Amino acid sequence: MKQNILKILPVKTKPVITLTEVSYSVNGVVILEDVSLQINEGCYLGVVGPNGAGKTTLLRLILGIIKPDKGEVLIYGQKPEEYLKSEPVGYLPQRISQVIYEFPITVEELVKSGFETIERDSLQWALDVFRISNLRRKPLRELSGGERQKAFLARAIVSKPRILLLDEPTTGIDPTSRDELLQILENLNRDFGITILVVTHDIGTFAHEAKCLLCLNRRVVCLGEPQKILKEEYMRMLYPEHIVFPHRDD
Amino acid sequence: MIEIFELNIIKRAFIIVSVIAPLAPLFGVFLLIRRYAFLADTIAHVGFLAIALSLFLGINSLSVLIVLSIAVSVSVEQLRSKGRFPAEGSLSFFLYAGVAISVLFITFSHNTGSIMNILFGSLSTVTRQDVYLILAGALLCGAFLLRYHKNLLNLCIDEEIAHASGINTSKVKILFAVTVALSISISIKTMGALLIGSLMIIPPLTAMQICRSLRSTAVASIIFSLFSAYSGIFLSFYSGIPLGASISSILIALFLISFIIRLF
Repeated sequence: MKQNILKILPVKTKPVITLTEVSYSVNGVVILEDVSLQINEGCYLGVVGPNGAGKTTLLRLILGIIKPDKGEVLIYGQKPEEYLKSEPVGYLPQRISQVIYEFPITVEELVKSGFETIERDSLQWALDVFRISNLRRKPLRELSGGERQKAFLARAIVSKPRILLLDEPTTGIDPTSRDELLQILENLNRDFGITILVVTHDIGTFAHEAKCLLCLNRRVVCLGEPQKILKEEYMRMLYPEHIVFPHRDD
Repeated sequence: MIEIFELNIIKRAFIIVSVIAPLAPLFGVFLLIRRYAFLADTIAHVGFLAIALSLFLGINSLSVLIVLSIAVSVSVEQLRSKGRFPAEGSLSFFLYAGVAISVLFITFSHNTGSIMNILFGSLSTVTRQDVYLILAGALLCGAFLLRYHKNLLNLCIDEEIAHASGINTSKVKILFAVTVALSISISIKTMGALLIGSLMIIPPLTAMQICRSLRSTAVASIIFSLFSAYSGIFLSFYSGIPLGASISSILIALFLISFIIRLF
């Protein structure tokens, strides 16, 4: 098989997620085509691209929720389903059913859900990280959108995963909560070495926060450090219809 | 008052409701979180078909009921998982198919005297053999909930989060489909095909009005369900109202009380 893997910073660490010539289509419509990348340990990667670029599909392929038509996805050298048997991946999907907000379920119950045993220290750590310890006994239905998002993020990290995949984590929350959230993600990446992938439309914000940007539009358009990526030529490839750069006469 | 407990049918009724009344609302909690409460109705209507088929063929109705309910429940889950039909579509299909075909069998059956019992439940239709089957079924359902309730909660909240947590979602979904069908099957003769859904769904809805956590909702659901079931037996015995209707009426009264409490 032709190897065309694009390495992502930091280059000196070991590979965490590897995609080799991955393609995926639904009813003949190509969603992702020949995507090859290697995401190394400790990377904080922002995945950007227009609607329908395949960003969410990329996360679902990494998790093994869907299988590629072609190519291979590996997490620490294992197929996703094998890796997940031994270790969870922290995940925040784009949309969560509204029903859970109508049902009386507390923050603590949500954060512990799905795990056979969660140590008291881990639970406290996850709640402390997102600064929601005071909300642990409150039902989700009594929380604001930002607080609910933090509760689900605490759920994503409570098992202390090595990988965190977040799909539009800043959607629907106010600028103050967004800034707080971004600060927490940066701390998680820096202090605990968690490899973070964030799918986002908020390209401006994540250009400052993420160590790397991956521009996706069914294929990999470009990837690298944000300051090298945020150039007119790449942005025009990514958003040909909508990007207007100020014209400079000088 | 004492003589009621000397009757075998009453003794059986108490034994049966003691196992189905705690189980049904627990499954109801998960069905509600998963937005799948309609499954209870669909399986119940398929149960109506199973009993009609048993009347037509003159065979043990509970065995047919269990097998058919599980087959349909698993089929609905598979269709939902594979995205072949919208969930509501496959549930509606099996519900209407169950009713339509059961009417066919009842039309050509010579023994149609127990239709009211099938629809609304009865103290008298449960045989000694049924009691053993019901106890065995309840044991399996209880064991499933005990072993998988944490995984099931996560699955019901969000299937993709559950998958990322390493939960074998396909296995848990199928086991859930099987045990929901089993819990409905073992309750139909007592509660009736039209009203078994009420024992699953109304107690959690009632508890939701006044509780603030999942644990307290589950505990309160069981208490409401048991209270309604036991008092429903007395109401049915002394008034002649079918058992399922008696229990459901008490459940509705409790719901209205808790709804009013929440308003104030």
